[in-house]
Amino acid sequence: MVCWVHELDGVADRVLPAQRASLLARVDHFVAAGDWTARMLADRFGIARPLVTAVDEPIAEVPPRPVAASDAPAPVDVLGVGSLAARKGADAFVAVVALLAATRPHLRAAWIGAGDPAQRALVTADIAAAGLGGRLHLVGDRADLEPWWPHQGLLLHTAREDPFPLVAAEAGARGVPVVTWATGGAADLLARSGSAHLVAPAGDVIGLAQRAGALLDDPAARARAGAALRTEAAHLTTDHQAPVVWAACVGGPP
Amino acid sequence: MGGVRGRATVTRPTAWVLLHDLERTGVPIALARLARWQATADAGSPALDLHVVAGRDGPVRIDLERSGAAVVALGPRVGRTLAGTVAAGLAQSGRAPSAAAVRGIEWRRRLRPLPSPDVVLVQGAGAWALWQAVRPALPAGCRTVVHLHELAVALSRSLPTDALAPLLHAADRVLAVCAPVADLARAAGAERVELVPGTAEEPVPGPTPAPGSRPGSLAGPVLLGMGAPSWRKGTDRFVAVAHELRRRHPEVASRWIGGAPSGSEAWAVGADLATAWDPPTDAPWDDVGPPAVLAITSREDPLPLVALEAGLRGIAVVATPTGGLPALLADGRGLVVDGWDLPAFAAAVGRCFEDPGATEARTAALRRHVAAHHAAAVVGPRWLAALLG
Repeated sequence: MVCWVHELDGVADRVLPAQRASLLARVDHFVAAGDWTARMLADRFGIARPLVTAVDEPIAEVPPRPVAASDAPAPVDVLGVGSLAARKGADAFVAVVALLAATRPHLRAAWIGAGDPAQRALVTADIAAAGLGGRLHLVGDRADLEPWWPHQGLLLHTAREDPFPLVAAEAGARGVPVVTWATGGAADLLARSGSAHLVAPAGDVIGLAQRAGALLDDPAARARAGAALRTEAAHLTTDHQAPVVWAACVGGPP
Repeated sequence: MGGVRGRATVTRPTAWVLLHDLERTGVPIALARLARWQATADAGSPALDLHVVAGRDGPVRIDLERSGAAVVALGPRVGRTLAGTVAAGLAQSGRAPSAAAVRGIEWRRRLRPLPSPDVVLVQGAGAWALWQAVRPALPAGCRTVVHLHELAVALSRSLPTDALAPLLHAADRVLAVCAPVADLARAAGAERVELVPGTAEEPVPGPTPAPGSRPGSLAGPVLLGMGAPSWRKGTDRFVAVAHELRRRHPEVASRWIGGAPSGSEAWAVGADLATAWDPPTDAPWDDVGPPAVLAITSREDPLPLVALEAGLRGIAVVATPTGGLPALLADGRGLVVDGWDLPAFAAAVGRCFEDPGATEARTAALRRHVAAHHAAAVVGPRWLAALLG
């Protein structure tokens, strides 16, 4: 039996039954969604490291850049993507954007993703209280992110816990730089791309705003970070990763 | 009506106090302090026979019982009663009126043995559902007093949007813990609102260990946050300030007393949050003394009791401008900083450690103010007068 693990501790605690130890013992091999998840399995679930293969999550090929349509959204400088849940850190996203906007009067930001009405109400209250109405838009769910990628800006990933956020890899595949904090696989991805300096400690809103602000104010640095991440994300396509997952499942070389 | 106590028969008005739960949070603690004051004022002859009715049990029960109040908890602290389970099932299946009916029948049955009330105190908007349930069973002439402790978001979570105006309209007296809460009550139609703020008591000198004398205690300069971690309490802001403080003042430790963020607000295991998380405690101040700064990073907080408690202990307070905090900390009694300007907030905290003389002047002024305006002996008579009509 092979178990492909896509969750970190918080979600795992919620979805796994209390008697998970007996279930884990029946698994022959684990495929972990990235190094961060592999560390959880080894360090906290007590799984022997040889039984764990870390495989970054696969992403789709990047489609050709669409010709800007007349109904395309106005470009944003800072994009956040994820369900409107505390785990995804939409509240922190608002706090970081508030600091960035204080000295950048033309900054525009958007969060794509829906959530439960109660959480949306809190984030909406934050946006209003921070004076960001009209500058930070809660867009809701969008089937197609392509029109929204901030090609002149950055992806701000503020999840409190996220094993391997696909959106960070997808941003990288498009050369969009990512700024995040050390709470999951996005930090590993940035470190491997040589951009560890774009990772702030968890919950360090000011540190995250400083890193994001430095990129926003320096197009060359932004381009370098985006290019480095594009290189790192190039091997994350499904065509590349699916054989790796399969090899981990059957125990042979990819 | 009326209660019977002691060897001699003493008839005094009976008050039912309705509240959501008995957790160690602001609304129940505020009640417990006034109950304690009532029990000891007037030579130990309380003016009211207090019967506390809570939706859920909790640790404040013991404080209330020690003050002579009778306590009925309609639900356990964790989990549900059978009626509560049935009501929850009905509510989840979209039958909210039936759920309320089931709850109401059960609650009225539980309250039947209580002496009939002369006055009902709705302690916080969270008690609205209880008040709705018991209202049909109240005797004619029973007065209703509503004591509001909530600002907008907490109000919206406590009762339906269209329920506040009828609640206030039905009340004979409306009390509010601070001016902004009173403004909300007036906006909802209350004609007259009286301010009855929270209280704090002077720390009792005794065998309390000195700061830093116990293992793991708070030796050296410390930044403190307190409360159940949440969006409303701004725990995320506290963490942000703690990171900045660590950069600028690495000698200052940051601690949050009240537990770590949990559930969907939990951070990745092992995340470096620059903050130590202490569990909730009955005595959060035992190990704390100057140099310490209390950071109140709340997005919304009417008048946190910890600000008053810090004031009486000479602890500096830096707070966001929410509820009654700007008034409490005005005129040099503390620092108030926009909660969205986190660098400025962290800088204000830093100034408290950098300039002990100015900090001492602020804490002395806050101590005088709290003693003059928030002692139970000052607030209690107003509260009692409202209940006695």
